Amino acid sequence: MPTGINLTPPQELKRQQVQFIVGAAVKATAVLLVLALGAAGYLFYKSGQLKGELRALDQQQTDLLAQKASMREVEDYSKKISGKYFLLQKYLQSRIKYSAVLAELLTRVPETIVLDGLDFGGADKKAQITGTSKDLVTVSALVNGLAKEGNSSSDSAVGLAGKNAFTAVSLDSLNVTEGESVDFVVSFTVTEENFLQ
Amino acid sequence: MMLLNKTATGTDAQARKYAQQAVEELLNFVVPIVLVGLTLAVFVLYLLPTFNALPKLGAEITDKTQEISVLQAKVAQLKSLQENRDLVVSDLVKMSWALEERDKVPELSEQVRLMSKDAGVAFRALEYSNAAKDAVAEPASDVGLGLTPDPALYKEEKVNVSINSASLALLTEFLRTAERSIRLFKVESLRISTRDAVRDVSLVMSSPYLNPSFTSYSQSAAPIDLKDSAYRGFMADLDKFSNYAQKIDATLPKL
Repeated sequence: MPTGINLTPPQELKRQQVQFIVGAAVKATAVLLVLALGAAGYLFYKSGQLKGELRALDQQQTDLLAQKASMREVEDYSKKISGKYFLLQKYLQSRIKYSAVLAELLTRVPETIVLDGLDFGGADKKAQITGTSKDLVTVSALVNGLAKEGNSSSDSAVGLAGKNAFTAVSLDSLNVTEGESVDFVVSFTVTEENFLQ
Repeated sequence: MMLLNKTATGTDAQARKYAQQAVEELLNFVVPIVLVGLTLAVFVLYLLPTFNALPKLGAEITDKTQEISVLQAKVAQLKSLQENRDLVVSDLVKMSWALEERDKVPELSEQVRLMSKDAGVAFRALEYSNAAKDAVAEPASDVGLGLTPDPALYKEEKVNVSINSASLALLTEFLRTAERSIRLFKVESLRISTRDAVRDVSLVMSSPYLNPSFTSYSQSAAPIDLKDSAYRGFMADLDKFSNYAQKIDATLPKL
């Protein structure tokens, strides 16, 4: 079987090989460049879209801020109201209703007792009542009455709901003049948290 | 010598030939090299930075969207307040009667006198000393209950009041009147003594007024919700209070 003889000169063969490699390299790099340009185009579009969205949001924010600025006066007023409301609420909640304290106390004092003095809100937060009674039983009734739980007064301003109005009730002094009168001093503590507004 | 020269000439020619071949080979690859360079340039100068910047842009959009949504809610609330501007002003006026911007001691004294008259007790004396004028309010024993407002926000003016009362019931009425006054009063201490069937009453009363630091505090507060039921209830309660301050001076307080 005769074999073909390649008469192409070696230089030509080499040139063809080089041309093939160069062609392949050009095609491959061209494809890479096209891919890179394609990706760049997509990113350009995507980032442009996001930047556009951001610009629209910026514009919206500017418009809203302008609207807000145009209502600055009412905003300031409402903020002042807010601050004052909070402060007033807290202040009122921390205020002891002495009218209720006094009303509650007076209903616990037996009718035959004459009150000579009342003292609330001293430095040690101790309250004190001084008075005169015709007998010892009423003084005892006063002490027991003060220590009683729940409301005695019909004053609905403060609902004690079974809690003590006064605590630490104690008879500090007693001066009995037989057949005449009984002078006494009773001290107690007002349960302030039960008389807050 | 001639042989040496011949050999040298041959080597130079061969070197030149190789160099020429190398340049030709390189020239063959100029286009792919340029294309690779361009691809790298596109990648390094545009693709990579843009790709890295995208998440940042996305995060920026998310943040801005959130900011805008908060701002929209705020603007909607302000629009509602703007539509009810008269109510806002009227509420603020009421609160300004309750919490004065200044101590206004003479007016306070006059208010105590008017309250005594309304309660049916005899106003006898009022003493005031500005020794503790710059002292901020000292919270009472109920601090532990968490009820006392921040004492840095307000000051309290204290006055010693003396009144005569025919009965303890009338004194209770006086205290009730003071508790229903729109300018707030707090009884700090109460001392009653009896002299010829007349009750001599000594009270220490305090009334709050705003501290300058209140302004910056209120600026940081959120605008009020006018429709809030607790707030409306509070304002309705305030309406029931007597405005002695207005009886003395009808000029509206500074808003």
